[in-house]
Amino acid sequence: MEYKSSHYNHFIDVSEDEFLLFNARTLATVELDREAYEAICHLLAMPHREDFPHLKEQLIAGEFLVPVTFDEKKVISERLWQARRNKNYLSLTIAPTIGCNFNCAYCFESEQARSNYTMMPTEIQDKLIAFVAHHISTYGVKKIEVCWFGGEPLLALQAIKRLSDAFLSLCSEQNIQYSASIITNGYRLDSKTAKLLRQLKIRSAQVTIDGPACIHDNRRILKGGAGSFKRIVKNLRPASQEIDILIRVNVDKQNANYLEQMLFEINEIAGDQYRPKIYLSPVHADPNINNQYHHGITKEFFSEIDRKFIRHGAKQKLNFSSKPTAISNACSADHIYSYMVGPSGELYNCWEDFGNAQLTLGTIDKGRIHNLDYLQKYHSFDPTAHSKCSNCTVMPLCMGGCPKKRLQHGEPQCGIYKYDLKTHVLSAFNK
Amino acid sequence: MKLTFLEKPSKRVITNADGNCGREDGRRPTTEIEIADTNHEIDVEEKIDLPSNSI
Repeated sequence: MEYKSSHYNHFIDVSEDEFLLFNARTLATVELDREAYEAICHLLAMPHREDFPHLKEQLIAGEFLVPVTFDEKKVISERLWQARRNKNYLSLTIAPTIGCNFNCAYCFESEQARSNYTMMPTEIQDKLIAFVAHHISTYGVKKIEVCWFGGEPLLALQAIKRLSDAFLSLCSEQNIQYSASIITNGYRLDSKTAKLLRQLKIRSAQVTIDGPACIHDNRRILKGGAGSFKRIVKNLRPASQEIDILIRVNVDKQNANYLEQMLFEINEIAGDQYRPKIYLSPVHADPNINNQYHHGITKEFFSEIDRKFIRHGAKQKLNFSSKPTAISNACSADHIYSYMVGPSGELYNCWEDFGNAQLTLGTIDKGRIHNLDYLQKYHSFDPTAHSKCSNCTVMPLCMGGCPKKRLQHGEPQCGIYKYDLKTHVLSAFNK
Repeated sequence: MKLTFLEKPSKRVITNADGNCGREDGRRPTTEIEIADTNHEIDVEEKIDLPSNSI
């Protein structure tokens, strides 16, 4: 059989004489010394060579060499469409309230919406439970995953408890897997609340901290104007004894150079024994999308900040890197059987559409009945057929990136691996 | 020359890997699925059937 080099092979230099060969489709990774590196360079360039038969055999086993007839893009496309149409998996992102006790400058939800503290009424909750039961009976659902979102979802803890109890009961009756997570500002995430969340099978919480106190308290402010850093950080350690806590940092020009100080202050309040899990998220400079916010950063600058932060964490034996992972589809907005449910039972396709009446797709009792052209734009994209993505060697790690951004910009927006694959692969293998 | 595999090739992929928009990387792993590399023809232009949610 004739072979060719996989389109997704990457050589990554660890040192002058140590290398990794990484494949972005299969994630296969091998460690190489210089001799092996040079031999493999030749073999991948000329796969018909027979002077290293044993080495060639291993490269075939690792799928770094694939049969010339093997269409890698077709495989990627196929798994995208299978995942996009997967009926066995129901994903719900539920905002039990759109109200929030914070008033963050960069929030994409309108201030007016965030001031509405109405909790999802029990009538809507019942319709949502019926909606889930209908899906289970109609589509043979085998796994349900819920993400509690808002507003600030912990302002509607009663609704979370009532709905979680109902979902857990449905899943238990029909032997369906269930898991849940929550996106919260962390202000109300004390030990007692975290314990209740664990009982409701909410396994993880994402909490945002936007730098050291002096910066965070100017951005993530309570409605009354007070800061929130100290109380949130005090909550982290006790809450992390109940559920996984993942800290998100929205990085822009204002806080990019203060991340080490943030880590120091978290340790001072939460204690050295607390091992924070942190990831950085860029606030991009993008006048087309948010012309009111002037502190956004470029992807290149973010990549540099991310790299420095990962290295800083590694010195303290903290892994802030995200291991590159092959994904089938971009996100739940790119899955037909995923729903974003607002507190009035309205449906959206993307989290960032929450609270925008023009982007609702229907309601929980009537299903998705309008804006279907908009929905189709999410569910018809295939990066393997797009000019910008189809020849990209890290495409299986991003699948065209955030669909919402693609629609906003009119073309796919590259993710972090396009800019710095090396840091993340090296960090994944402690190199 | 024997190669040391730090990771073997996998057919497993993460599906619906969101968890927070804007993360732009591997993101919060949610559901992992295994899809066979059948490498057969599929019609990517096929019209999508939206589920009927009426209850």
